[in-house]
Amino acid sequence: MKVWLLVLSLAGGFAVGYILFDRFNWAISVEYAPYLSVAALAGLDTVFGGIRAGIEGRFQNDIFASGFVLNTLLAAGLAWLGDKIGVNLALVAVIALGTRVFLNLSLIRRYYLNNLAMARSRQQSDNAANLAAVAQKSE
Amino acid sequence: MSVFSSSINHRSFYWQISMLCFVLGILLAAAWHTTTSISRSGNSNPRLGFFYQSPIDLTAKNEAENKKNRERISELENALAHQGDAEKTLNKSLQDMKDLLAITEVEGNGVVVTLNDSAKQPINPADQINQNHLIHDFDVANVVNELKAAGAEAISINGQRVGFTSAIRCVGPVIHVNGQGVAPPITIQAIGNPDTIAGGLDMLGGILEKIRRYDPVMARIEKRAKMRLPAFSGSIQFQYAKPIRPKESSQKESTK
Repeated sequence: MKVWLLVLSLAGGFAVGYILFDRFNWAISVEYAPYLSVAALAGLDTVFGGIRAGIEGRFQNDIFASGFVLNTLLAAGLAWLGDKIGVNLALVAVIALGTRVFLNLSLIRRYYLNNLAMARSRQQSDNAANLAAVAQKSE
Repeated sequence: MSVFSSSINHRSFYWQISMLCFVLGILLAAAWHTTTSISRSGNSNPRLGFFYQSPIDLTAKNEAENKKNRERISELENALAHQGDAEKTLNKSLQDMKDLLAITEVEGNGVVVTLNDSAKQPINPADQINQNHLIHDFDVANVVNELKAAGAEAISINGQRVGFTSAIRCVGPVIHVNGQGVAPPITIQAIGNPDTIAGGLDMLGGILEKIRRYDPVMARIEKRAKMRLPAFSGSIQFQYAKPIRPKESSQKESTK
């Protein structure tokens, strides 16, 4: 299933990042921690947004890529700006992105459950049609 | 037909999303790494602990060397003083100056202030944010300030004598005094008038009451007789301050 591909690449990316940062000790100053967290949330939102666009048949490469880059930059930029002006703008990014994650996730869930229901009803109507055909033949 | 396929061509977008998941994984690892390296105790990275330890060891070594050297210098000065009365007078003045500089051991009566962390976990948000159940560096520094104001003549914190260049700083879970780490329970010994100092510190609105506001056991004070305080063994060299000496009378005038 394609879902496993996504999970696998996520785990692979995490493993690569872990090796780079913990073993080879690529230094990230700890003052960047909140910006990285918000950027990660923006990435998560883009993933779910991409999946939702894909299953709706509206996926476009350029929108997807530019969305990821710009959302991440905007989220980290908002967090940085919030630090400078004393307002917790990181909270804004978190709430907005979190809302979209839940929204996209619920739409994806709805789509697949609808598919499941349709497949089941198709199955039932197929069974009924088969039974009718068999019954007709035997008559 | 599987649930996860339909008439719309899905496969075209899974590769892009997979690549993004990969990048997201790296981002998550970075965020996780930076967050775990900021732990509650301020430093959980063992490699960083190694970098802390060698300056601490070096400071201890330097302090021991300073102590030895200063004692040796005093010995030599005392030996030189036997040459005559003038030398004896000058040497006495010199050794007295050393006592005032806190670089010699002293003993006397005074008080002992014990500061300790509280075992009660903070419940309301104000206490949690300020960590009022812990003893902080500014608590120790304020107590030392009050002791000085109350007339303490010699102060030591957990065996570290407070000299005029001594600093009390917070370094993660421990407090550094003279570059050496001290952790609660912190015992502050002060030589001076026991009644005056104890009364001054215990007064209403004073520093001990402030510390005791969260938990009364956090600050204790008792009078003690015959305490012996170690010498200040840190560096007391002047690099920037240049002494101003009064002009010496010329040689010709002194021999007239």
